[in-house]
Amino acid sequence: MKQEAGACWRTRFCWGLLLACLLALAGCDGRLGGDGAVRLQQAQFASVPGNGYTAPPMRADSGQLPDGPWTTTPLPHVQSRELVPSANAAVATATDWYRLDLPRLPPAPGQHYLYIPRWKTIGQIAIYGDGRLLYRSDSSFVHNGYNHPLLVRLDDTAQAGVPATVLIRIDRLRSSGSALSTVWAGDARALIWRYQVRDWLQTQLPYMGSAAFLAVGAFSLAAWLGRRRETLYLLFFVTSVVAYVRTLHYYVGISRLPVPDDWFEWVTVSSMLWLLVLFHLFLQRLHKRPQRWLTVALLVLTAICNLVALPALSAFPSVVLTAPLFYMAITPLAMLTFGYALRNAWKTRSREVWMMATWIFAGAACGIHDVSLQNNWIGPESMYLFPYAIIGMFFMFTHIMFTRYMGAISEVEQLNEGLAERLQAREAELAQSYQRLRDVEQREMLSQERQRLMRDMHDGVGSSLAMAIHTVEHGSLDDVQVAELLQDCLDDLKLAIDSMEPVEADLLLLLATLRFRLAPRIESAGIRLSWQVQDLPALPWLEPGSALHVLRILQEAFANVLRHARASAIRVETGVSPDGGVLVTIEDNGCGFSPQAAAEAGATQGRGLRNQQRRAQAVQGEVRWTSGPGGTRFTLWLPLSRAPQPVA
Amino acid sequence: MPSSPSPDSGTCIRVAIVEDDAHFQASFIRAIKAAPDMQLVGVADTRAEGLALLDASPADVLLVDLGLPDGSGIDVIRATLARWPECGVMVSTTFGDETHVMQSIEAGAAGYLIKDSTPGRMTDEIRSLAAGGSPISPMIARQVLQRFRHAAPAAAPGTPATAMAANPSTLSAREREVLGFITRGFTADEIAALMQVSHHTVLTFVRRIYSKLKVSSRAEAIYEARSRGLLAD
Repeated sequence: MKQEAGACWRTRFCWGLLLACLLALAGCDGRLGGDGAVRLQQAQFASVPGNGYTAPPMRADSGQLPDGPWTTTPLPHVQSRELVPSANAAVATATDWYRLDLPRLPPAPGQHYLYIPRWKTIGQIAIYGDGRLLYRSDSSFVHNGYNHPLLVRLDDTAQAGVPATVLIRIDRLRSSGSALSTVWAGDARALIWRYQVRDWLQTQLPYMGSAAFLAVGAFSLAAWLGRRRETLYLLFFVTSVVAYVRTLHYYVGISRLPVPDDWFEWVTVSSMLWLLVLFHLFLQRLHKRPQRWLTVALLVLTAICNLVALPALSAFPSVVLTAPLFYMAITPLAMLTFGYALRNAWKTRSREVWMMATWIFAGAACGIHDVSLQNNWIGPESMYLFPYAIIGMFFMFTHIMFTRYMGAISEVEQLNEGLAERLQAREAELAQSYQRLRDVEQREMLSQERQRLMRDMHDGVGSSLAMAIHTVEHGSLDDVQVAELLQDCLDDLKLAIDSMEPVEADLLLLLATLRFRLAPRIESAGIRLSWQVQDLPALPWLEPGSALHVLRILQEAFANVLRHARASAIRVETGVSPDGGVLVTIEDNGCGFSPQAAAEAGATQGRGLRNQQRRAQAVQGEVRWTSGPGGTRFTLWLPLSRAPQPVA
Repeated sequence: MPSSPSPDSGTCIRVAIVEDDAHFQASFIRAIKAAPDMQLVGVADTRAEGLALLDASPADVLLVDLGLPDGSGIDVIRATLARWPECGVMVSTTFGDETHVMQSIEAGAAGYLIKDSTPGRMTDEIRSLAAGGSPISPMIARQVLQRFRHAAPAAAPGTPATAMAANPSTLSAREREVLGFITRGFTADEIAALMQVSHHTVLTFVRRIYSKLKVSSRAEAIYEARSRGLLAD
């Protein structure tokens, strides 16, 4: 932001420098021989009083002019104005004649000009070369293009040479005064650029400045329409419009205006007053110390001035003539406003308010200068400076709005940044707590798995090995039987390992693994295995713990057939049960048994059956036996889904 | 499981062994010596000795233990395939568990032998391997299916089946069918009947699948994490 402000100041400095150069250029005092231009600083003057305006004659020879005594007068020449107009001010006129004898100009055929930096009257101007009309102003009497410098071709027709004498006719209201600057004569090369620079500075630059102000004002209006709360934008827009209106009179009037002079003058004077009010309101926004009474007083006074000056109501003959009075009326309040602004600038020490205060001084200086120029208190050679004060104000306001705008953006950015940071922090926290939770879960799962395996080792391999050692020590079994017992241990271990492989809810894969492990035993027992399986629905609950239960239940069923049934064939079948669940059936053609009797006997087989039931319960399944002389049919029913409960 | 005699019983199967477990080594040597169609051409106790064996003339079947006292049997598998490209490498394992077997197959092994097998079964497995077959368990079949899961599930229409079978990054429809049967618990004999091919053909299917697994294992390592999906075939 600082840098941008710096850039803005630099820009203004550059503008100022350029301006200074141009002013120096405009005022530069060229002499004949230097660049082919002659500056005429004295003239013969005669004034003829009249009553009302008359059209300039077609030809005017100084010899034919009324015998009024010609006096020598220096240029610039000023007739001062009546501050308080007299009763007949609107009709009492005078026609002033200036006679200029041109020196011999160097030959430059068809290239000679007369250049008048400023003329000023309420009336009209006409220029004659050797008695022949060369130029006349053609617009209203008030807004007659007085702020436009004049460039008149001296040798503008085929046979015309450079005239020896130039007559300038200016008619005016006797009360309003008039002025004529020095007059230049010379060739195009020497005069055209002087004219152009002056014209650019006096009319075109103010015009461009106010147009640019208006454009930025339109942007500001759009911003306000989008955000109604930001009334500063609206204020800026209104200021730009009023400033535009105020600047109009500096550059219009070279041709006739579409509105009556009085109304145009009224608008011009009013806009100055409103500009002051707006400036005050803008300042208040900046220093945030509103002074209600001052605002009200300004508004009331401005409104009164506006009303009094209304051409329809006016008691005065013409606003044109009374404009200085209004400016003077508002001056004390303006001083108060600016003084107050300066005090606030001092108090708030805000850079913006300081900037405004600095402008106030510059603006006031311009204003004083312009009033002096308007009232012919200073020479007419000078230019109106207030347009530049408005351009300065434009840059200042734009800078302030821009600063606000950038401030708002960077605030939003900071907010977003803060938000992103907070979000990131929350995310990190969440990730951390999730990680902790996962760690806890992981530890719990490991501990559960360890317990499960330890229980299985204890009940399965551990007890089988203990039994094997016991029997070997007592010599109650032969080597083959010991080998068989140990083989059982190894099979137990293999199934425990298989149970740890994820089977992904696939019961058939679990059965396949069981078959793969038991096949050598079944084969060596000379039993034919008939594998009649069909695809089963997925069992989502089939995690390693449950898988081992299922494996052990079925392993025991096969072991029972191998140990006790004396069968020659086993048939394994799978299917979906009508009550929604899956069935695994193991059927043999052995001698059969009574599950009741076996259970009551409390023998090894009985314990095996109880184990199967216990494990089936643990997975919320069921085991059933039907046995007869034709063999035994073992059925394991398993649910498709399980009520949530800890795995046993 | 296979119990048929070697299809080319006329020639002698040259067998070598790298095994540090003295008991298993002894029982294995006994089984080989008892088989009339086999000849034991080398015995090593360690990885270093195993690698030294490769200087001799090639064997038809090499049996390797993964856990050797001076290093991994995987190195021996790789070296063997480099020196004896025609040799069938068999890993001896206690449990035939997925982790060990898959690792060996990816290194280039053609089969595995469970240590507590009977002598008869051992020699059957060796003959089957020498004849170009490979053993497989349901868990391993499922694992293989998962490895190839990301590839085209079946031959695209218009693609010749042979081209499909030759493509090392995909399994052919027939190969998938075999693996599917195995995960459902069917034996090689049963699968041969169901698919109306010979027992031996089924086992050569498995061998071809293993060699694809070996080729693709490296290239597809990046897919491993992804391919831990479902088995449903």
